[in-house]
Amino acid sequence: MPTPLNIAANIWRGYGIAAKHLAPPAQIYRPTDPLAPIGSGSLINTLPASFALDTNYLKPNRYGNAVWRTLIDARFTLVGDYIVDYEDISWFIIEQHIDLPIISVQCNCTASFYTPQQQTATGENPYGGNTLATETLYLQNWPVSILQGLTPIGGAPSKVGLPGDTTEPRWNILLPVLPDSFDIQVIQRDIVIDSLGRRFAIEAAEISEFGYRIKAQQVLT
Amino acid sequence: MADINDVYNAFIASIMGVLYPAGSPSPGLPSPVTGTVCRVYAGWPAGQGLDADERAGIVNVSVFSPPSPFQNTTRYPRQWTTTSPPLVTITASVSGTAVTFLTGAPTSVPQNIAIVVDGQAFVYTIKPNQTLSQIAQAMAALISLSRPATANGQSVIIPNSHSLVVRAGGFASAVSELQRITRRFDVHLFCSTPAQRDQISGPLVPVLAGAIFLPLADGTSVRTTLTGDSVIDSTQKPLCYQRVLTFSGEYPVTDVGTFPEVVIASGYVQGATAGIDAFTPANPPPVSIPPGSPGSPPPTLTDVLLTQADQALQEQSGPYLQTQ
Repeated sequence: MPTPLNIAANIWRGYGIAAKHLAPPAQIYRPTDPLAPIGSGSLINTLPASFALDTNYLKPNRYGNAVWRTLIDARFTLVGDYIVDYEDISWFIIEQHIDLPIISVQCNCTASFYTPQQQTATGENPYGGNTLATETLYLQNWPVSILQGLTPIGGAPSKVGLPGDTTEPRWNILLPVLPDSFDIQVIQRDIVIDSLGRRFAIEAAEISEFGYRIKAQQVLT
Repeated sequence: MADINDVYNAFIASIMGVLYPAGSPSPGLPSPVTGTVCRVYAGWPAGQGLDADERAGIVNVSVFSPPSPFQNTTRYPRQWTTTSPPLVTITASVSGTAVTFLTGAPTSVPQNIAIVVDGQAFVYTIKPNQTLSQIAQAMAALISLSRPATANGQSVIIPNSHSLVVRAGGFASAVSELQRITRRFDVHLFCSTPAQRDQISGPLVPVLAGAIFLPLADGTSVRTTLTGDSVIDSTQKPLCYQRVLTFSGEYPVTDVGTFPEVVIASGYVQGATAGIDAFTPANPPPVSIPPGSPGSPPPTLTDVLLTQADQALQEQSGPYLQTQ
């Protein structure tokens, strides 16, 4: 009598066989360093991986979507693993339930996460206020998905008040589950700077089985 | 012609004097005050550039007059005031029947040359970069329209002349105040860190707050009074630390003009034209015997006018005589 895990393993092996016919091999990374998630030290495997919105491969993607069904031999992967495909596009696995399809998030940039300066000394502290130099980097160059979120209609522009100001847009940032060994928690008010140079302040950071779903405000002068 | 833009420039010049005391910096040169590049300009920064500058540690200083109460404080009568006296480079001498131009050309300094031949004046405006010989040729051509004259090198020969005088006059710049305006001017410091803001504020604020007058391009000044000073940290999320210095600036709206120095004057007195003759030792001016001196006849109105005109001619470096 096969166990559910045996069944899942067979299904995943089948995914792997299917992917082998659909896509070239991809590199599988399992981050071990919060400051270098993708690198030779975190490369764990090379597996074919194929991504689609449906099993028939008939649906194209659409604006605002980062979540794709994934064919990969998941016997060798975990939720939170990165897949860097033959086109150098990064993905991270957000779910590989034993009896459900495997899904991944397509990344469109990398981002670094910072904690703003804190006044932590007892007694006299330096001038209060966050600066680039006093921010503490805790995640560096993580491939993430940053797509437009719902910007409040009529929201206030930046406080600097320049003539060219617009409403500060909101974005949805998806980040994989972080290993417990990192002992890192992404929280609101943290700063995110992406590979395009954009700067965000985290408004809300939801942690679930998929990883982090972050609502962020792009901060502008 | 002074206007609000000149006030902007006056503030910018004053700020640049603090941030780049050695003068106009080459691109990318850090200010010795901050150790980073500083940008100083009128108007508001553009957001994209400011975002990038804040992250790169580049300081932006913006000068702007926001919408604010406008006060017309005009209170002075309109009159022309010399801001730049006439400059004369041409020198000449008279010998016999020849006038010889000695030095001072070619030049781009605009000047008028007058030769008075037996009481008849001939005035020529030199052209930029004319040589002395070309000036002599032009003068000879001008005089020869009335009487024989030839050019010989740098000399003009006027045969049979009995009295020769040569004069050169420059052009003065003058300004007239049309209105006087008082309005608000803000100097915004956009800095990347509070420490950087302190680095700039330390030397800059005393200079701006201590300057009672800032010079404007037309020779007038704007009177500045520090009326507000805000330190703004609420924009630190995009790494923008501000300080806003608010000034009340009172400045004139002016018109500027260029006026030629008088080289030849004539007066119309009681129906008769009185020309100013060549004042040579053989032909002393009427002022050589001051009216009222022992033995002098009582001064006539003509004497008084000629005396005034002659004084204006003799005082090359003094106030110019307005001919309007």
